[in-house]
Amino acid sequence: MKVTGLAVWRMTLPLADPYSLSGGRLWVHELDTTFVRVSTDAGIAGWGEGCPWGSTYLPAFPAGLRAGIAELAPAVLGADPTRPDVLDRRMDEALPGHPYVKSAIDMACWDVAGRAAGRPVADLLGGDTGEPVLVQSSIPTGSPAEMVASIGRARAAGYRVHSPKVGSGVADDVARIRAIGAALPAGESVTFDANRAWLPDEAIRVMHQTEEVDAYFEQPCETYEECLAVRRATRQPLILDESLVTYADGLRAVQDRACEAVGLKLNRVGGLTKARRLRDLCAAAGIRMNIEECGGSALADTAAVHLARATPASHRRATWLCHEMLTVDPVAGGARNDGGVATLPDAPGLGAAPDLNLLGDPIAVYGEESAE
Amino acid sequence: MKIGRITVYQLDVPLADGGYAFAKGRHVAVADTTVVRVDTDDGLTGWGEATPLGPGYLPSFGKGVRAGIAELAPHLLGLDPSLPGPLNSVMDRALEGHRYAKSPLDVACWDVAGRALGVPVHRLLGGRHHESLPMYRSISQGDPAWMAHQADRFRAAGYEHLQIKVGDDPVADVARLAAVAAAGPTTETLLADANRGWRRDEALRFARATADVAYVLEQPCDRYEDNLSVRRRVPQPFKLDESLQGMDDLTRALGDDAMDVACIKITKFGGLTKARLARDVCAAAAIPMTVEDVWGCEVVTAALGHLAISTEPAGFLNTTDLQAYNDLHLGEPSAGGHDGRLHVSDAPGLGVEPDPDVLGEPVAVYS
Repeated sequence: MKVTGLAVWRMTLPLADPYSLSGGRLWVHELDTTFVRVSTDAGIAGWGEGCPWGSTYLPAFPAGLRAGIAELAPAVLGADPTRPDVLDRRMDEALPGHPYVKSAIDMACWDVAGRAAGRPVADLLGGDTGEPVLVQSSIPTGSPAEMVASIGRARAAGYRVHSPKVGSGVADDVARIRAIGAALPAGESVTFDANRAWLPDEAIRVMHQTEEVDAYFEQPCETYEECLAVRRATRQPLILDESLVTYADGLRAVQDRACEAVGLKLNRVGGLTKARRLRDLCAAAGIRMNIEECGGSALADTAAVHLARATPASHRRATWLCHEMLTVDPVAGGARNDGGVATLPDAPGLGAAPDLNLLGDPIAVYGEESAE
Repeated sequence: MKIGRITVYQLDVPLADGGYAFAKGRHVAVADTTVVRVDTDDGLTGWGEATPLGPGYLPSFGKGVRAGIAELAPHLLGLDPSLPGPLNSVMDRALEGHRYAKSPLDVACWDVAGRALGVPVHRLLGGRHHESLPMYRSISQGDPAWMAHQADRFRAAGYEHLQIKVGDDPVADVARLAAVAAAGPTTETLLADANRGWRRDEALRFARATADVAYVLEQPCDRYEDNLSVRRRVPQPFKLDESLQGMDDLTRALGDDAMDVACIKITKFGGLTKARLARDVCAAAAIPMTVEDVWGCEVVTAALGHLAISTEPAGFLNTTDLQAYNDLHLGEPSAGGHDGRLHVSDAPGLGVEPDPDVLGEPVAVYS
C-alpha cells in the first residue's frame, strides 16, 4: 500500500473557558488545530490531528506544524502507511526534530493501517486490554476554595483523578494543596501539576510542607536537571511531562530513576509510533503513564485512548480528554467520557473522523487527494 | 528607538563545488536562506540570516524559519532592538523552542544596536581579542585521493586547520584521514568530523585504527550518551557539536567532562545573545571553541566573525568563512577570509550590506 495524497485542514477550536496556568502563564482561549487526511492507492483513507496548546506551552506551534507538513509531504507520498516504523524513520531523515509535525501524519497512517486490517488501532499497538481508561480532570489555578469547587464539578462529571494546576508562590500553593487534599474523598487521586513553574527551592519547600497529602507532583521545574534535583530531595511520587520528548529522554529518566510516572503526550513525542516505544520502555521499567494528547478534538484524544487501552491498566494512571473543554465537536465517533471512563468505538482504525461539512476546503493538498 | 518594520527575503543559494557531502550519504546542493531586515522608526537598519544545511541535518528548515518569524514578528514590532535581553525574553514567551527562527531576528537587532552606537558588534560582545582568526576548512566527503587533493588546495590557500568529513564506513574513513594527514605539516590542526554518523562500535574502531594520527575526534555518534561513552574510551581530543543545542546541553557536557572542544553555532543556540552566553561559559571553563554557524552567507559570516573575534584566546580554536562555501553572494563581506584567516571589519554594526538586486522582492513584510 502507498500513500497517494495528503490533505490538510485548519480549524479553530474555542475553549468553553479561557485557560491559563498559574500567574496567567500560557493564557489560551482557543486552539488552532490541523487535521490531516492520508489517501492511499488501496482506496483507504485515514485521519490524523495535530493541535499544539498555543505557541508557548511546548516547542510546537500551529503554523510551524503546517510548514513542517509541507516539508515532509514529499517523503510521505509513496510510503507504505501500514509500516509505521519505516515511515517514522523516513520522516526523521527528511526532517530531524519537530515531533509535533510528524505526530499528525503518523496518526493518520495508523488509522489507515487499522482500517486496512479491519481492527481497532489499539489491537495494532499491542492489543486492546479491554481494561477501563480513567479520565482525569484539568483544574485551573485559583484560590483554594475555587479549586475545591472546581474539583467538585469534575467529580459530578464522573472524574475520579484530578490534575489541579499549581505554581504561584510557596504559601499559596501549600494552602491550595492542603485544602484540596483535605476535601478529597477516598477513592479519588490527585496530581499537583506545576507545569515547570517552580524553581527547585520552591518545589522542595512546597513538597516538604505537604507531605501529609497523598498526591503526585508533576513537572515541578523547567529543566530535567532541576526536576531531578527536586526528585532527590523529596518523597512524593514525581511525574515528568514536558521533560519527556525523545526516547533518549525516557532512557535517561529510567537510568536516573528520575520519576515514578510520566505524561506520555502523543503530539509532544512525535506520534503513536514513538509513543508506543516509550510506552514499552516505561512499562518495562515500572513507570506509570498518563497517556493523552497535548490538545485537540475528539480525534486526537481517540488516538491517545487507543494507546492507553493497549497498555496494561497496572501501568496507567489517567487520560485527560481535551475535547471535553471545547465548545465545538467536529468529530463523529471516537473516544468519549462515560462517567469517568473513556470509551472506544467498536470500529476499525481510530473509529473517529471529522465532519467534512464542518471542515470546509483543505488549505493544502499534496499528491492526489481521493474524493470520498 | 523602536522596531518599525521587519522584512523577510528568501534565496536559494547554490553551494560551491556542486554541493556538500557528509555523514552517511547526506548531500546538500542548494541551501534555503532566509534574510531578515529590521528597520527602526528612526531610520536605522539591521540584517540577520538563517541558513539551515538542508532540512535533514539539524532540527531546522527554511519553511520553519519563516513560519517562526511570522509567529514572532508581531511581538517584536515596537520594541527597542538595542536591548537584546528583554527582546529575547519576549521571543521566548511568544514561541517555545525553535531557536533557529529567533536567531536571524536577534542578529539583526545586534546589527541595529551597533549602528545606533556607531560601534562594531564585536565591541558590544566584549571587544576585539584578535587581529585575525585561524579558519578551518571543511573537506566534503569523497574518496581518499580526492580529499587529499582538496586538502592540498586548501593548504596552498593558507589553511592550517582542516576538518575531514567522516562518519561513513569506518574502514573507509580511516583511509580518508590517513590520506589527508599524510601530506600535511605536523603543525596542522586536523579534525575528523563524523556528524553523528557512527554507532559506538564504529567510532571505537576508527579511533583505535587512527591512534598514530594527531587529530580531534568530532561528534562521532548521534546520542549524547553514546558520545560520552566513546569519549571515555578514546585517547583523541574530543569535540561536541550537534549534541550542544543550548545551555542545558552545555552545562551537562561540562559537568560530565564530555569534551575538550565545543562547537558554538549561532543559529543552533538561537542568536548572538544566547551564543554569547554559551561562548562565555566555555571560555570560563577553558574549553576552546569553533565559533561558527550551521551554514550561511555574508550576514551569517559577519555575525560569527564578530562573535569569534571577541572570544578570548583561551577559549578559541578556529572559525570559518561560510560564505566561501557558496556560489551566490549577498554582497561585500565584512568578515572575509584570506590566507586561511578571517578578518573582521570595525565598521558599525555587523558592517554588511546585502545587495538589493541579489535579495529580490521580499516574501513577507511585518509593520
